[in-house]
Amino acid sequence: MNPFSLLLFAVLIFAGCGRKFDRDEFLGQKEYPLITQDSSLINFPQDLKGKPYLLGFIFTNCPDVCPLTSHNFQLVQEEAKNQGIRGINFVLISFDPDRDKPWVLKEYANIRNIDGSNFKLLTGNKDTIRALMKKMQVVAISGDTSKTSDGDLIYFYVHTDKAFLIDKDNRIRTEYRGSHLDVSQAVNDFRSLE
Amino acid sequence: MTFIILVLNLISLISPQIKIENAWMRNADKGMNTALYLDIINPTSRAYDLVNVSSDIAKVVQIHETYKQGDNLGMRKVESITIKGMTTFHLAPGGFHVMVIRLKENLKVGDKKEFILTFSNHLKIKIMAVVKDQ
Ligand SMILES: [Cu+2]
Repeated sequence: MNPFSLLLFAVLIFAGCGRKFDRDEFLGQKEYPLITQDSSLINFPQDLKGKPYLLGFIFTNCPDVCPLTSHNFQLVQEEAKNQGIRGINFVLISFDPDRDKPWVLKEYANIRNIDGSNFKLLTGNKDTIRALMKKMQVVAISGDTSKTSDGDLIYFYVHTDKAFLIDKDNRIRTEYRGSHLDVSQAVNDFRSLE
Repeated sequence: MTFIILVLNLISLISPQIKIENAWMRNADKGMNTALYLDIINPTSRAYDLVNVSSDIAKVVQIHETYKQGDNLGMRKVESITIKGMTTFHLAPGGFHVMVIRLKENLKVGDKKEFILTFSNHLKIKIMAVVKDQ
């Protein structure tokens, strides 16, 4: 290794460790009971404590933006795995609990080929989800509604496009745009939380 | 008469025509929604409006756009999309797309499904869209 690449290496290592996060807010002690795609109960965020995680919000009836977010999460999951980063989690919470029952999330995970080993899709009761969204400052307003010829209600949401990086102590460290997530940036950020 | 038809056919073969390429949809199951994406290539000098898309695979098919509202993203129906002369219009994730609502069947990766695109001058183009898992 020549001196230049050694220096570059040192700079990169230093940059990785010295990542200054723009946020540092504790999620608090309040528990939000949610249900995973495998129908098991999880107390958010307490049960996630101990490992850093990427948190996002979706609804499964969203065909354009939300699949981009889920796909970006999968890309980060895959890249982190390739780089040997272990002990991290991925969490997507549905803001449409009326329709996104655990089995719907399960089907969504299957269709999108989501590796569920460290990737949870969560839903819950309406009030819990609403309170959690308020806490995270995520909004979802139902936009245009229409009906199919046989009376099936169609509605979509105008929603926040945010993903959060949360450290092992349940502190929000930064946020990204879920649908335009920079995969290598997120992987590096996970690395600096190791 | 036959001669005229032959000549017209020849003209249509020589003169450039609107073309659809790279049509694809995300895989999804019956009852769910998906989106159709494609490129509309307009090599002619005049503008075309895409006014309707139809298919038998879903209960409802609409032309949509994804838009930004502050920090939020939403989708809305649009009446038409104008493809100016000598341009290519991309319907792509996070932008314009064709909403395929309440699928009547499962869409598996590799499946090909028919759609009909209608343009303002009654031009109809039949396309096959391939199902992908990206
Ligand atoms: Cu749409």
